[in-house]
Amino acid sequence: MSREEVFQKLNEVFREEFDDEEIVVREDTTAKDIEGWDSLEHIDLIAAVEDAFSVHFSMAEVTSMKNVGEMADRIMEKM
Amino acid sequence: MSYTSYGFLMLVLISLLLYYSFRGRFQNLVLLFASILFILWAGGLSSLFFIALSAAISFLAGIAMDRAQAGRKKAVYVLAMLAQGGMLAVFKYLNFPGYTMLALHELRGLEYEFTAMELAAPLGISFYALMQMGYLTDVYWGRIPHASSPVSYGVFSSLFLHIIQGPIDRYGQLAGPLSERRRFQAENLLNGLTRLLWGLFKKLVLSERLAVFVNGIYGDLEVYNGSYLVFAAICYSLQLYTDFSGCMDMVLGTGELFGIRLTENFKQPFFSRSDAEFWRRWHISLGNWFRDYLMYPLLRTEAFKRLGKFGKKLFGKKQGKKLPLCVGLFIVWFLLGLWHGGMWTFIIGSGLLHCTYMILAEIFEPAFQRFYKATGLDRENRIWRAFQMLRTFVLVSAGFVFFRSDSLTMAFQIFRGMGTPNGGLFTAEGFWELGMAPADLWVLVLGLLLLFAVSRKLEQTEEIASVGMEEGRDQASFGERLLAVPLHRAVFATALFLMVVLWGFYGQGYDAASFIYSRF
Repeated sequence: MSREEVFQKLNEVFREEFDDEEIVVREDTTAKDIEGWDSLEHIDLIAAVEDAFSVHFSMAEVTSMKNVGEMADRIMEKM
Repeated sequence: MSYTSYGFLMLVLISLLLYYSFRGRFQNLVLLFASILFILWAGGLSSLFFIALSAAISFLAGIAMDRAQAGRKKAVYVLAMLAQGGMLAVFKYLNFPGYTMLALHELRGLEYEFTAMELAAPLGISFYALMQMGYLTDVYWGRIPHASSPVSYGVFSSLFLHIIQGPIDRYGQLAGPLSERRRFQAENLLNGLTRLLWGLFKKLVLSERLAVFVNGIYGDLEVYNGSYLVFAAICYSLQLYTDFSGCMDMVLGTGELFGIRLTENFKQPFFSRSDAEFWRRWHISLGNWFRDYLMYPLLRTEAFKRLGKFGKKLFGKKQGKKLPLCVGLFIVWFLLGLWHGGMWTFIIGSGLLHCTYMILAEIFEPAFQRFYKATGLDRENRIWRAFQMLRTFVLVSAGFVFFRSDSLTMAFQIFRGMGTPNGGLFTAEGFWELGMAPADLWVLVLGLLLLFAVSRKLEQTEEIASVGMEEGRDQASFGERLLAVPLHRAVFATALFLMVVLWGFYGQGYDAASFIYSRF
């Protein structure tokens, strides 16, 4: 899967998770940029991403990923 | 020894002189030595013993975990966590069963004879135990490598700046700065001093004056009710904020003098528009600790995942996934309240009450969304924002009433008393009998206006992060955010100094040892 495809799929997951069809995630997108992405929503989002890509994030990754770009890096490493 | 004492001032001055006379490794030795002295002075030999024991356990466990195989690694982790948690439990929660019986009797309006057992807990155990457990977990998860220098780990574990009231720092964030040589910079001196004085101003000029109202009214609940109690609740929220965040300004400012950035603990909490946002801005390092080391791991367990599936079946996809969240919130907030002490006033006021607010907010969220859609209300409208801030202040202040009360009975008495019609506060006679001199009132009012102006300015220069541990790291310092020109900062600092000297509550006869959070 190319990085572009990863982002395309991530976009779908984000739109579904936050119920907002206008979301466009980029490399530097962080929780600040998306309404509703708070600590309560974070774990749900992680679980949805894991399901979509059939990957598993470690606790260290769950608590330290800084932006969507880093998330994509981890996904590509694991696939 | 409190941070507002002359002893502390001398300790900082002497340490600073030695600190900048030495190079790299010796700088950490100066910090370690100053911290040991501080702990001995403020908490005695037993505190030093337990802090050292706690640090030694984590340090050795960290090395062992990085060297061990997977199975052994987990065993080492669990044992070390049990040791840290066990010490915390023994020192802090010995009286928890007794307090629980007391609360149960109070709720039924019955008398209960209970004398709390006295066991002198080591200095700052609530804070350092969490820092140690955070370190162990970070190493276990592989988020950071284990500490290799006992001196630098000793400084992290005992640092006289964060040992009494936090912030709950993380080794991963301090290890870097502690491994470099810190050079003297005039910029750090000016920024650190400005912040230190700002903290002193909050504590000695504002908090101590607010305490006059709070102690006067809560000290005589037979006499004061109605408007007085509402006023006391407002004053107490401001007192607690100026006291605790003032202490943090002093701690972070002093840290800057040493060229070390500690974790930010407050970000203008009273500008929050919801209770959840409030906790991202109030005692941030504590909330983040519970989020990263408890809430997240809990929600990722198989049991909680199954609970989520069960919830979705029961309540549909959107609402159902909130079931594990609500159960998780309950557990985390119960423990957050308990962390403050085994008393139920804390468990409710700093725990379960907020958990209730957040669960209700989660459940009614779809209804709010529909309301916004149907009315076409602009949520960024100034009046709506102000309303939300006021509402959050009221909700939070209700929690602080429990927090301030000696017992649940007292808290309920205060809430009941608020409903009594008594407008005495609004009469000249009724107001001045609270013991505040007119001149002091002027200082307080003007001081609070200054606090508001500074908070607004700070608010404009920072963003509130909600996820991840990196927040607040690469931001400009307090002084730089407040005033861009060094000269302006120097003038501001001088003005603060004069205000603290002229209007601060200190000196003989003043009990300087009474920061509210130092009891935890």
